[in-house]
Amino acid sequence: MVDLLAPFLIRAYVAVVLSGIAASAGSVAVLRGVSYLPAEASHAALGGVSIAVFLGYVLGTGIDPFYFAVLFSAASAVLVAYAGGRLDKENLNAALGGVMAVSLSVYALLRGLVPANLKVVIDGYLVGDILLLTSKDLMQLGITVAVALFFEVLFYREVMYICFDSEGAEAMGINVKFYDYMMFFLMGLSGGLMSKIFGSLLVFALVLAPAAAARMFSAHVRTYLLNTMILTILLGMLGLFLSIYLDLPSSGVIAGLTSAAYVVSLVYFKAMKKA
Amino acid sequence: MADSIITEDLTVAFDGKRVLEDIVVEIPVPSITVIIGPNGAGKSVFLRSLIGSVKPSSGSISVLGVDPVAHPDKVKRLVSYVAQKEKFSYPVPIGVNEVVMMGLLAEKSIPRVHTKNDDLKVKEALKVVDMGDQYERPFDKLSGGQQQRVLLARSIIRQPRVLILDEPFNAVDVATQNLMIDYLQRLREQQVGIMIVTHDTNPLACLMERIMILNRRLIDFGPPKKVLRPEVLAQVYGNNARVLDEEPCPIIVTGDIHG
Repeated sequence: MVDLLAPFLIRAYVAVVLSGIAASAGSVAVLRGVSYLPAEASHAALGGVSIAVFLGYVLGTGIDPFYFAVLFSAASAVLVAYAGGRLDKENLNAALGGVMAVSLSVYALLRGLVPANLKVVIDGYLVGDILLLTSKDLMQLGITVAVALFFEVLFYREVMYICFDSEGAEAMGINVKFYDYMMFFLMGLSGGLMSKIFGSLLVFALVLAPAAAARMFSAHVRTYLLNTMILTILLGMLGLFLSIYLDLPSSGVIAGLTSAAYVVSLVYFKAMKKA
Repeated sequence: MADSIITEDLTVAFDGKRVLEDIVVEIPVPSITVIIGPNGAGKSVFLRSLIGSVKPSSGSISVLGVDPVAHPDKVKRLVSYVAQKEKFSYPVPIGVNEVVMMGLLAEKSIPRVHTKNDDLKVKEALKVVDMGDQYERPFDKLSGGQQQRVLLARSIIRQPRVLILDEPFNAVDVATQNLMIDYLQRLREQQVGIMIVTHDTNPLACLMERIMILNRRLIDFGPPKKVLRPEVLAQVYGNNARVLDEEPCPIIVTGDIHG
């Protein structure tokens, strides 16, 4: 029988709550028309981790890959905003693909240049394990999430206005360029820290799926952000318990649940529309 | 002059291609000016250059004595701009009251907290455009005409000295169009300057004081009776366009008339 209050599980519960808060960035990405951005940023995190690990190997010193992960993911998101132009969604999506290609190339190249024991560190960001998080990891994640949440709350209206009508917001004197870059930075940051918790392969399922599902039953931006957080936390906790009792990989079970929630929501709301 | 909008040799180019060339115009404020021209004539670019959203390649602009390039924030406090409706992201779930509130809160400092007085102003602005009963309704659930009225409410709540509307009557029913025109007339009486880009001047025939015809260059500008000549109309509407002389206001007809 697994002790549900075992330290590694308590750390996992905290990580699920943190990931729920970070998942609200997925909602912002959906509203801004760049749904894939957090997932792309999480792949850029792989490039950052590879560079950190490679540099550590070459220089013979330990470099914490987490900082490189979140910095690269945030920087890649800002680069997407810069390369794509702020108002053109087609250009943004093209830039998103380009930046992701560069990140993955760096990952593939540098991963091949480090010994097997360091490949494991890099691969920890590709397929993460929420049960292996340490207290130090949680501290880093907590601080990053707190910073992202602070700015999200402080600039909530700016984010809402720009997502709704960026041209109108600009015409009314809101500094759209600044807030847009900030929004992309925070979405990238969230993608990076989600890669630490679940691995970047599953960020699609953990950031985009709950946000896409919550969008279907949310009538307001504020409730939408909250619903995404609540849905991610509920499914995260449920997935965690299920994975423990079924002895399955936690990240995979949680991702399966969030994906299923999206499919069920989609089918339900399509059926409701027809009725 | 502080009571007019003046452009001197205004030229705007994107990627080396000129979309506006050497526009020289002086539009008095208050007045109602209608801007017409074929697609791609630079009408929207002209409007956006007036609020500082598009920077001129050369030439100068003065809006009520303020240069929008040097002081875009000052100009944005004087001018309200309603963009073409298709440019909005309707899927964003936002209430009607918040769309209108945006007009007030955009001028406040972060975190842009609204007061009870702001709520009252929003309700009042919605009543003016006959949308008082839709206060909390999701914006994306409204018809095109209702959305346009809400956007008008968002503009007027800022009490601008100049109101700029880019194709406000697109996808709008006749009732909404008439309501908007009545309201524009009231704004004009309150000394607000109004500039409207449209493809159809007829709904505004008795209201417009000046017409500006653009086709990258300024084709003509002035009172309707002076500007609406067959050779000028041909550049916008084709050779079959003419003004009905017998009407008290300049009604433009295009194509053949049978009767």
